[in-house]
Amino acid sequence: MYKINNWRNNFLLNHKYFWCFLFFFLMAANSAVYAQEEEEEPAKKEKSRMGLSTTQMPGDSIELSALLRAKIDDVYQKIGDAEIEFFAVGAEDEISLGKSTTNALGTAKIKIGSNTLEKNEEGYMTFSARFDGNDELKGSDDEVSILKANMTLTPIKEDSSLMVKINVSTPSEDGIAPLAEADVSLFIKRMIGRLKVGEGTTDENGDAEINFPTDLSGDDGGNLYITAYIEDFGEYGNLAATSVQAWGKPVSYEFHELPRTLWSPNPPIWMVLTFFVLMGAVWGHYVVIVTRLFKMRKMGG
Amino acid sequence: MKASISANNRLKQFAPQIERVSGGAKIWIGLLILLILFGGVGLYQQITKGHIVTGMRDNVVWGLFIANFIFFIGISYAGAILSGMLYLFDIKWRRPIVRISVLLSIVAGVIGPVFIILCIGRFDRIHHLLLYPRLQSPITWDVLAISIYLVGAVIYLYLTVIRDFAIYSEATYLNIPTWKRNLYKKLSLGYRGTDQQKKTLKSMTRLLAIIMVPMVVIISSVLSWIFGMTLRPGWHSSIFGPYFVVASILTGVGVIIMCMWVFRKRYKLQDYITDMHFKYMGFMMLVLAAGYGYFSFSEYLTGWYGSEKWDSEVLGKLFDPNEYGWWFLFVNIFGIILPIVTVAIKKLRTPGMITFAATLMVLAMWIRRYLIVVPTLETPLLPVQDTRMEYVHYVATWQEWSLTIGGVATLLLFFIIMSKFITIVPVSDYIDDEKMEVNG
Repeated sequence: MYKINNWRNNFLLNHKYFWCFLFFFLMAANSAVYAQEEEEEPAKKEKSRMGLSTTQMPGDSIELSALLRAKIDDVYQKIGDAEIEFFAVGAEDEISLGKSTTNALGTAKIKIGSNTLEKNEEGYMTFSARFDGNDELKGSDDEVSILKANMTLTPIKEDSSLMVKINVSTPSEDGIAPLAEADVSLFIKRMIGRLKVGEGTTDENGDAEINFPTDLSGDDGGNLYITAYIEDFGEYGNLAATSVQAWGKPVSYEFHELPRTLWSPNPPIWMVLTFFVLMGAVWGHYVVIVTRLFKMRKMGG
Repeated sequence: MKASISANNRLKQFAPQIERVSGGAKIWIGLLILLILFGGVGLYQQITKGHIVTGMRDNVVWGLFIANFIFFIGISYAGAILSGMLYLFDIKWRRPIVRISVLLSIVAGVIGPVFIILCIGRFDRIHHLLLYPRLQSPITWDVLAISIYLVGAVIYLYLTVIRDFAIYSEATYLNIPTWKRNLYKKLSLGYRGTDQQKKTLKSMTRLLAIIMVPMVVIISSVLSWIFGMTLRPGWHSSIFGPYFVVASILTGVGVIIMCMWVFRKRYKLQDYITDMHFKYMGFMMLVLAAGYGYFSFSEYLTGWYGSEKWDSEVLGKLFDPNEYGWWFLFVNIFGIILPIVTVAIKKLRTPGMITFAATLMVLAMWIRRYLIVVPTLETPLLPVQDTRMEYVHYVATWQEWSLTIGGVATLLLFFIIMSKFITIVPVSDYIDDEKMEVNG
């Protein structure tokens, strides 16, 4: 018993600095440094929210676009990879127009022809989009009704100036009725998205004339992909019309090799030389030393 | 080959260190293994669940792991440069310190890069650093620098222990297993102490020491340029190169003092690791702490005076008691002032007090590394939109702490293992002019 106690006392005495340090460390550690996440409870289904919009395009086609979002952690997030079904809603039933899956931005789109779609007495076409839900989200749907409208885009080139003439109209009992006070924006297609180049408002005849810039760059043929867009025009939804015109400056996309710089794929020559000189010097010395080490073995004989 | 009587007497004194593992050492090794296993649990969680188990997020992409990396690599570099300089200047009292320094350089140099691997997460892509290097990147420079350095450090250690291996292998009274004796024999490379061998070994050691000193200064600067070459406030500073060099050597001196204390107590080496060694290492610590204090003052004064917006933000955090103010105060008091005061006052200049000051200094320098990494990352150079506030403030998780503790435990364990093969005091160095007899 004496020996064990003595050993224990000696151990504690000889390692007192160790115990002091351990005590200090534990006391000094701030409890805030521990940020252990609590175990998550099984997730309950969150509510989802659907937003449906339409874009009427030339050729009597309509693009239906559904945006699916959900409020997660008090922030609205767009839900990707969700299946949305679109319907044309009639008086008595609804006809499935097809299904589409939302992309990373939470949007699903389909394009349909509007000629065969059912209209109600007032001429409205009604569409709906439905999400049936999944393990994490509740289902949701949205419905939108629109009146038929047409937008035409006519490019006009006079001398050196360029112009785009827009006409917006809707079918009526008397044939075709112009739509005034529509705010039209003009865009051209760029590499990632589109660039706004002009805007105007339709007059009482449904016409708008918008000047088009003459200093834009096109593709290698100088082509520009022009889109006229009316956003959220009352009962008509969104309207779009497109045209391709060789109104841009031709741009050559010939690849030029980047110079040797800090930011290009190939480093500057001085950097490469310095690297090889330093590596060579150090590794050279190592090789010499190791070689002489093995030679030293023979010297012992 | 037989060792002389003097060499035998020396070796008998150190023999217990390499002959056996005491009960206390076994308990200590067991504890270290437990701590390493604790780190293994954290590692398992990180591998299976991903980096979400750490505190690193979009804003603060570096945290505890990088602080540990800088810390361990820094003390490794310090070990190499100290051993090289002490050898080159032929300092007479260097002997036990050189051995500890070289061992430290290897062990810490192996542990440090492991934290980088833990930080990058995708271990299966580590070879991409070599297959697809980008020569313009400071990270590529650091990968190459550490690789070259480790090779050099291993060769340097080997050169300094060849003579000892020769003595161990031929000391028949040493109670060591046959495999160990054969290992010593192989590693001694047939060293018999002939004049030609002595001359060759000495010239090779000297050559490598000459290479190591400037190489370590350069690669220590390369480590700092990972931070200095960015545009981040608190990092983009031309002073970072020498700042890191001085900080590394200061921390290394502190760790060596701690090792001296432990080995002196453990193996009763009072005759070899004397009070004089502590005093001289203390002076080194004083000078380096003063230099480090000067660099710190210069850097913060410049940043404060310039009043550049983001620099001021980082400085504000370091001086704000609600943020990192208390830690910053701890670093400056225990990392700079305490070592200077302890060594400057003669009454305090004892091995115990110097070791105590060194221990607190090493802790302070570790915290300093943390304060270099995290506050800057919490202060983005460009405004970040649509970010969650919990991503902006970094707090280390238990998994990160477990790996940190595991890393420290691994360093201590490696040290113990190496001390079971190589005596802390180089036996061969104490044989000055005695010739070694060669068996026919």
